[in-house]
Amino acid sequence: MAELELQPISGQLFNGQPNTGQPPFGMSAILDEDGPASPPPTNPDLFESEMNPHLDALYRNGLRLTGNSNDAEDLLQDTYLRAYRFFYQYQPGTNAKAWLFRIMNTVFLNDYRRKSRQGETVSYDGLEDFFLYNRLTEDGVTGVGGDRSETENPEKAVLEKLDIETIQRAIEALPIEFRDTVALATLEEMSYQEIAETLEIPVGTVRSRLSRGRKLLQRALWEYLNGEETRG
Amino acid sequence: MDEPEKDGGWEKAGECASADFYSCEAAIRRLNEYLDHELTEADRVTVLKHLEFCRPCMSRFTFEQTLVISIRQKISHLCVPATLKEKLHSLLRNDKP
Repeated sequence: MAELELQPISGQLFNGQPNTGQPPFGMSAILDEDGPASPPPTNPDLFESEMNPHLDALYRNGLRLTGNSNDAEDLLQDTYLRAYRFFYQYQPGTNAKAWLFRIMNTVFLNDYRRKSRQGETVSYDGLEDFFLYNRLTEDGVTGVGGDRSETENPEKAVLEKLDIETIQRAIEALPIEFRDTVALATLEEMSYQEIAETLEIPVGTVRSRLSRGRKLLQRALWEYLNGEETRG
Repeated sequence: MDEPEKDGGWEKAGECASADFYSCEAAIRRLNEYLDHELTEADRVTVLKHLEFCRPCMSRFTFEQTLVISIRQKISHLCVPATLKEKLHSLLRNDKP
């Protein structure tokens, strides 16, 4: 049943795949509460030097998954301690960030999924390249880009109005299979290969999700900037 | 500027027929990879050549790049709370498996 193991959790979609109740491949042991029976000792200083550079990115991933800081902190702590117990499985020099994110996604799906939030129902109509740019440079448009002086400098107009909350809301409004890919590339500056490893999807899928997901993100940003709901 | 795409993603046209550069369509298809530094050096140079000739695309690409960088900078202020960091640090020392 090796094929089934590659597919996460039944019922709902995760990474665009149907869930089968199985943790992602190679991650089953991570879910064992007690950890390995007799693991080799881990040096906490070594662990911290490898893993802590990714802690903020991991926390933000937790925020996106759970939608609130309390659950994100719990999820981060769970993830971090499990990574510590299973650190002997980690191969130094491989991608620590992708490894941590995979553990977090696995723990989340297993322990927190009842709290899992789906993205808004998003219409795919009117998806275009340069959505924000086009809105901001349109003649006679009303809203954040409506002012003549602003249309001459659309970047300035929109960027001044973008705050963390607006960005987070727009990301959260994305359908879940786009949310992860867009967030990891846009916010966490992961390479396509790293994203593919983290989400266990092909690089080609990363590209196609990014292509559609960034357009959806721009439309959501535009709608939030103009105080509208994204439901369409 | 939006000429129909020819095979291989190349479009040589007009006065610049002797130069290798993408059409708008071909350049725009590479937008995300350009923004994410995923293009090969040769592809990146070809996109840059297009941008050099095409002011509308230069303006659009610059906007996209500024948007991504700005979003990334703003969200990077969202960090693990210091208290949780301290807690994790001490948990590792008490939680010897």
